[in-house]
Amino acid sequence: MKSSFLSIKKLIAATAALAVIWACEKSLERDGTELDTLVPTKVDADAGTWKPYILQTATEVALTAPEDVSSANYQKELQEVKTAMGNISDDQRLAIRYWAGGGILRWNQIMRSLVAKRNLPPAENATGEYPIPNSANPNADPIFPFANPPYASRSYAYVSVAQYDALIAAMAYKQQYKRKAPYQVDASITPVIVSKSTLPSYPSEDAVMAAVSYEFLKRLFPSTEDTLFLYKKKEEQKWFKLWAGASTRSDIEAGEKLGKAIVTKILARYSSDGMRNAIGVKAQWDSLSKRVEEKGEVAWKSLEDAPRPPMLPFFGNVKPWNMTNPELQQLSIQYPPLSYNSAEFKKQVAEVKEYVTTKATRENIAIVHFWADGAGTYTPPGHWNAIAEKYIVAEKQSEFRAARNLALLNTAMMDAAISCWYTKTYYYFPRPSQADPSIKTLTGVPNFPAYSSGHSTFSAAAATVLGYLFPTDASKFNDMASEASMSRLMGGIHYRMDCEYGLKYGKLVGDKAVARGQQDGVK
Amino acid sequence: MKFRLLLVSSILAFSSSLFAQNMTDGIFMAKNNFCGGIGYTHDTWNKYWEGTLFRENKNLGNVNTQTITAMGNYGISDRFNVLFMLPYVKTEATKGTLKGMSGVQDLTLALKYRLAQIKNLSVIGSVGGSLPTNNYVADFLPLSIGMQSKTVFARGILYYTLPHELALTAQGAYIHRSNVRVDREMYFSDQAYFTNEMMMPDVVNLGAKFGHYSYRWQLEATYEQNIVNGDIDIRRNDMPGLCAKMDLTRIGLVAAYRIPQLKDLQIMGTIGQVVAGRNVGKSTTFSISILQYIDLRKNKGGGGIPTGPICRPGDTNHAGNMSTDEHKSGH
Repeated sequence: MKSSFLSIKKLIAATAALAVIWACEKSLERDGTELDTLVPTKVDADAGTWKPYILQTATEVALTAPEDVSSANYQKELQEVKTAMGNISDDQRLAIRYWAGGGILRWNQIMRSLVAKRNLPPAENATGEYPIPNSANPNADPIFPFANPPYASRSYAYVSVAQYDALIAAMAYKQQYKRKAPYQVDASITPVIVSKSTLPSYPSEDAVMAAVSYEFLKRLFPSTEDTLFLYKKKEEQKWFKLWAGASTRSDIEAGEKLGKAIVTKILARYSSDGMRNAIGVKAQWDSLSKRVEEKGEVAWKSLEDAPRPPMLPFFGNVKPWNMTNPELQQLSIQYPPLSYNSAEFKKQVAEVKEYVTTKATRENIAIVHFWADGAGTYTPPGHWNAIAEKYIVAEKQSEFRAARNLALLNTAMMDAAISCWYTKTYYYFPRPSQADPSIKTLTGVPNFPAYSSGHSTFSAAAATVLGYLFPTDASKFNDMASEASMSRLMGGIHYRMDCEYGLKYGKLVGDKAVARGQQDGVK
Repeated sequence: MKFRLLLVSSILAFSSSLFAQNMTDGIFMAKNNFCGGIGYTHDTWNKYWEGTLFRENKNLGNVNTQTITAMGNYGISDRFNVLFMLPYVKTEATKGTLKGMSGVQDLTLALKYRLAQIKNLSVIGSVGGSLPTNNYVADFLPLSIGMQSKTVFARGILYYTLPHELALTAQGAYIHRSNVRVDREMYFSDQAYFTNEMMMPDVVNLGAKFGHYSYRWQLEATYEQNIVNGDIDIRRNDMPGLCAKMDLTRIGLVAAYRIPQLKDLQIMGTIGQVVAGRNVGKSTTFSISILQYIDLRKNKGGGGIPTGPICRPGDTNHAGNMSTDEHKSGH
């Protein structure tokens, strides 16, 4: 009797313990997108005088003057704002809270998410070939795009440039027309969640950002699922300040119109920058190997089964931002790699082997994986955007300044991609596992030539720009770049020369962006 | 694509490792008796389910996982046992460039208690958990050696003895898994996350086995079902992630014999085959192990013969074959 009573007690205890476990809802401490409501340290009211990238002048695209705040139409709009504020829904409140964190950083997060989502190499088909994702048929397998590092760098750069140019234009018209915000016109309006900006409200900078970001991103990520997601985000950002009592309909509609018109200017460059020829065809790929072999060197080969064509081998011919193509080409081949047949090179191969065997410590593997940013992630340029985000947040930078700084960073990294891919295709140098098949790697071997290291080039370019923007941490950025660079040697996918010269090339590219930053009128 | 790694210990699968057996079956060690052993498991697959798509990957070839497991089971009383298990795991892929990994994995501890004996039916409850023994790399599937998750589990076991030394076992466990911190600060599972923390879904593990069980011989057919919560699949041509829904159905056989000439040293072999799955390899597993009983009682009964395993109260001193009569004598 006693023993069965005990059993029941234990059964109850076990059940209770289980109930406690089940009650623990699974969650993450944070998902990394959390942003406080942005109250900028500096409003950057002079942003209309900053130098745009593609627009000739801030007001190249015309925007008609708004109606006066005393007009009957504006009064109707004020009433609409009050009604919207009175009927605010929980979803709208969530959207206000989300976008109040800062539109530039939000779109940057969205873009990094989409890159990670679409950064998957196409699978081999039944005939041993790798179908190329097709932007005209984006939903088919493989879904368009394959957002690999060059593709990602270009995406980040164009969206950042479009946002920056559009925000300069928006500020120029804000200062020209000086229309007050609803809460400045009507003291009975107190904005929900968002801060009371002292800036004029016509056109709405949020609507401008929403329009340019959406119009660009839907071209970069055209699958139905991605476009619908982007559309939802665009609509939220477009309207949230009306729901919050900080913008009227005409502020927003003017912003959207301006944004769309500016996108057409930037699209003209985008559609003719050479990207369409970056993949090439088999005859071209073969000629790359032949050229290197004729010099008595060993050409890169895909280590995949079936062999995969090199990733965007002609991306090196895409139009750069902060220099001309001839300048970039000259810059990108000034440090040749060691000869494949040299004794020094053999030593470098041996060093790689050492890193994946005796030196494959837990600490080193952590570094390899921290910086790997491979398939299924936001890529190295995305990683550096995430690093920049922390600094932009800490300084509470205005939307205008955040856009400018991300444009500097992302044009530098796209130039780094172009430069590095030019180098890679020019020297067409084998990966360590091709030179010594006994080298087993601690991260995936990228399917393109080794020399020079993309991570090193991206990272040095990014660290150079960030060091200019946030000088107190300049040496920290350089240390991070060196670690990112070394991580590729530790992972067994690059030789020391790839890393060291990659850093050198990246610094040269970063310097060009800094030179632009020094004369773009931003104080 | 990972798969059986999680079955080795994190999930305590029914048949993937012999050693897990004592954690999931109806057999107890008699009071003050200890059973310890060591075993070798070999698991291999060359095709896997990417989500629900069954595919090969020529850049992995065969993914082989070899495991050496130490295991022990001690009888605090005839109805209350404590068990542990600790595997050393080594992985490799026969094609492609990725480096295999090796190391000591997770320590599993469990308490097993016979709650009730209703005629020939044992009703058993077990609770336990597992802890990674070191900071091994988890986020390198399918070549990492484990999941780096801490787990706690509660398991119910029904053990029914039939005439002719046949027995039927059915068990079910709920396994709660802690979130895992990885080396990188972003990943994509069902969406992009900008953190190094990964949410690990809980697991339900169900199993059944039927066959002959006697002191000398064991021959049983096993069935096992693993269900991971959530619906995160490996994306098209992506690498597998830790949080994926790694479901599987596995069938297998267990055979064991105690060698009289070697002081009843038990030699045991298993084979297992995954027959259906999602985000796992279609793996074939075999294992071989040796187990020895040690009688730690101060006053050894039965002329020093170990009492060994017991199926139910009253099964003490049954060294040699357990007779049907002895079974019936249980209360």
